[in-house]
Amino acid sequence: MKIKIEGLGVDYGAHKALDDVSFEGNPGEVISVIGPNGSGKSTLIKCIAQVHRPSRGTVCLNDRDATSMDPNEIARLIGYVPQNFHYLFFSTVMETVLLGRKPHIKWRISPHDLEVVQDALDSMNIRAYAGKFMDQLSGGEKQKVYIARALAQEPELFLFDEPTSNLDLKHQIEVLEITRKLTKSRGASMIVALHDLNLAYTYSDAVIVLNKGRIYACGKPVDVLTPATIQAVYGVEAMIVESDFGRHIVPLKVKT
Amino acid sequence: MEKELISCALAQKSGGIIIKNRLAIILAACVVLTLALCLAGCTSPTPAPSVTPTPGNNTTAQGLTFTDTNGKTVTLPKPAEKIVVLNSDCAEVLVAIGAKDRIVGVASSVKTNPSVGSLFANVTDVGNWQTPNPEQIALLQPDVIISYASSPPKNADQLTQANATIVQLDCGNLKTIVGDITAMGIITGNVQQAQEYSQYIQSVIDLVKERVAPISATPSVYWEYNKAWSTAGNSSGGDTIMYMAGAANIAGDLGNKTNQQPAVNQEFVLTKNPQIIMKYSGFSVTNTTLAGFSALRNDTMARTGIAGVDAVKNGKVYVISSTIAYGPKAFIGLLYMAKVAHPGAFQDIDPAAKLDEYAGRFVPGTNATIVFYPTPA
Amino acid sequence: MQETGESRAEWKEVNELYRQRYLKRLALLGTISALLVLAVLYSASVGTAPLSIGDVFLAVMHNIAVKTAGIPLIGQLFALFGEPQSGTAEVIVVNMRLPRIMLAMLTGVCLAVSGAVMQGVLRNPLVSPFTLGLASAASFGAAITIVLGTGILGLFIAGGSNYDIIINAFVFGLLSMMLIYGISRVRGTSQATLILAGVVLGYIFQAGVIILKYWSNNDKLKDLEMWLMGGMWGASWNAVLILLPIAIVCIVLLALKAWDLNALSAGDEIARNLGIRVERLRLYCLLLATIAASSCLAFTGVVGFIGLMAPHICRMLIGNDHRYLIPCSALMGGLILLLSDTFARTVFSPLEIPVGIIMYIIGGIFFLYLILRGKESHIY
Repeated sequence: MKIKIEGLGVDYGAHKALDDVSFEGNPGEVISVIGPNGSGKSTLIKCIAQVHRPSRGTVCLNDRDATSMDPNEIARLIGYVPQNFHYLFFSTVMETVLLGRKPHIKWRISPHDLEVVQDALDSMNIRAYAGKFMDQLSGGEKQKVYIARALAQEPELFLFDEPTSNLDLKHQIEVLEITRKLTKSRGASMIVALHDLNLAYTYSDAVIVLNKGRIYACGKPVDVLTPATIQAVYGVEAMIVESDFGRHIVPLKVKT
Repeated sequence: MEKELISCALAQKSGGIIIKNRLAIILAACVVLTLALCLAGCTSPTPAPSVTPTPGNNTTAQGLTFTDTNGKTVTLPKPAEKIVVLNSDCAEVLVAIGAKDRIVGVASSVKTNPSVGSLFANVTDVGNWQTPNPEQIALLQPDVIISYASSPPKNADQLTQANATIVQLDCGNLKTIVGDITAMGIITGNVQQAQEYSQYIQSVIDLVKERVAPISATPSVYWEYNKAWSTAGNSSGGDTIMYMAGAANIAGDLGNKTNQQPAVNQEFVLTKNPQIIMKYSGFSVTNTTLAGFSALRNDTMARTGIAGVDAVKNGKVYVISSTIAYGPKAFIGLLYMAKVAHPGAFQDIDPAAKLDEYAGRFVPGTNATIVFYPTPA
Repeated sequence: MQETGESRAEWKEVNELYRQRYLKRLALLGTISALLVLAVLYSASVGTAPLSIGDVFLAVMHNIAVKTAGIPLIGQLFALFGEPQSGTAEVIVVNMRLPRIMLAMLTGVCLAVSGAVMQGVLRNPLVSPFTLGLASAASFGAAITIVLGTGILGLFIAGGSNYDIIINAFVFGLLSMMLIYGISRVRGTSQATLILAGVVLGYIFQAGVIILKYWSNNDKLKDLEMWLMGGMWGASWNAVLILLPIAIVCIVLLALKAWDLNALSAGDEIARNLGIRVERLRLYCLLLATIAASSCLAFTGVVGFIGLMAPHICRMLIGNDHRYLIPCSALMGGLILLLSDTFARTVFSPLEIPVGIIMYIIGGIFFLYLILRGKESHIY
């Protein structure tokens, strides 16, 4: 999907959580948003998802202003997975993923809806849990269920707010690989807030570095993720190491 | 860009209007609903009996006519053959006017009344006085259900299904007792006995009035109901007794018809410094014994705020049973009150003997329990 | 890639799984419906008056025959059954037991549905019409009428039975919701705001009730206490005819929001992402739930716990899908309250216990059980 963000700003009283954020994204692109805690990553993702109303600026999806769109229309365009979730006690995994079909149905569930749910479960490798209750799952398993729910929504834009925060190493890589592959194959886009700089480096087409609510740097990972940027934004000295598998960012010490 | 912003603002505004419209619709719906309820309330068949103008003679072409305690005129087709009584005072009146055999059912509270309960041991229990059992009443097929005027049954809608007329009579306050007894006479057809009975009570009231009239002194009285500091407000049963006995109720200007037992406090009683204290003793079994009465009196006298008043200093603190403070025997309470307030004028009167006479003539057994303590000199 | 020891081939097809769960839910709903029908039959045949089941049946049939006498065929069909042996049977069954059964069921249904919806909307399993201050407000409305003798609409209602109490209780129930709505306009509709506002309003109205209690004399106090204990004494066909349309409309409108409620149970943010206008849905549902609950409370007085217990049991039985949870709660609420009320009016016959007391006992035991079950019960 074509995304165009212009002059986005969010104020919490006098505090500017986001200020003058503008960027564009093209179909098939995976964009990571990185930055230290409190830099405005989650706020940016929420504003794009239309979950949070920005104080200033516009979000255009496929050249249309999102604020003028019907909520259900947005729901079919954007699949958003927030950072926190601890509800749905008496729901099964299948029912939770089925919620993703909500924007596409009126009341009845069609066989097609169930197929989409099955595909989403299969993509995340969690069909074995389909009949389990949500509270029987571990944190990481829950996170995968929520991503599957967004997949079942069949949106053109995935918005993930730290989707790997509860996952172990293997699942972090697995989830990002799967979502990146799906984004590419469906011609969708993906904007993902990440903490891990190496994951951002490996799986994104473009990286946005946020610092204190403003875009510090923006561009291809190789251009943006430099020791200088990391030092300026995180206050950490780092070095880039080249290996047979690519480039790796190695943090060294806190700059004094 | 600017254009877009404007359109955004417009969209927001219209959104607000939609919300407001919805709110208006919802509010309108609420109003309509309330009105509907209102109408339903108005058009539903009222359980109260039909109202006709009171003629001079109580037997009309339509049947019998009388006035209930609330002042409402009630018509019955014929004298009641079967009566269910929820009010123990009315049950006592029925016995006194010779209509005991018409009583087919009584509330549980009538059966447990310490003064008259034993008279109804073999009568069917119809349950709680506020929510009598409609099925039991339907089985008894009474013509009339007599309830309290001050507190009609909660399930009146269901009771009227049993084809009985609900009559609201208190037979409690001395002011209205004679009228209520007359109404009971008309309901049962025992007009003659009712007249004799009410005249007996009226004669005592007249006697007290006559003797009190020339006395100018009005000793002040603090009358306390069951709950501490709840006193006898204007037009309550206690207030009537004090007024008729030529005593001054220190709370006579407090309270009203709906709140007859206003709550006062220690300072109020101390400031008013009553010369006499009347402590009301409720229905509970322990309160029907001499020990119970004496304990209640001691507790009352020892209470902060009461301990220092003249009544306590002079030992003029009395416990009066609910059975003679309210109900058909309230005239006995009146005699005691008058004797305590004006000992000189009522030297020759013995209320206890009067109660024995009453029990012998009208309602046996009503003199069995203690009703007043300590006995006035 | 495999998470478990199972192979992919053993994974269940989702449509198969969905069908199984669907059938299981249908079976559950069927079972509870059947139990409810049995409960109605049982309740109609027991009471203080010793009527045979045959008499109960004939009483109903004869009553229908009289009502339909003008209609050919149907009237004649019912007339075939003849009259019950005792003449009072018809009055007792048709005019006393049936309206009471209907009122108990309707109250159970409305309170349970409004509890289920409020819990869903606020994502808090301990929310009920009571937590949100509705019962206290309705009590205050009733108390004003009982103690001071004047309803808000007192002027328009001449005589009648307790309609001024009913209307006042209803109006104050709605008023509590309007106040919460007003607060939410200022402070937003987050669950914490709504629940806190409800609790605080509840205390304020309770204070009002206590003041009125303190002022009132013995007779009024007993009237008021009776109302606060809750019971089915207001049962009459009039009451049923007023409540039935309100209940049907509210429950149908709420049930239509089942999918939205499902989405909301995943959290506000996900619900918004699924195209739900969260604030609007919350207020819409709360308002309808309040109308349903307060109209019932107005007739019966305070009947606690049913709005908390029935949805909780159903959530454990049938899951969180509101398409099934709402009808299931309705049936369960009707069943529990009908059985409780039948028990209340038969156990110490001819004395009745207020059904509110029974609900407190059952509800208390139920929640004690949940607490002992621990974390699994999800009440905290």
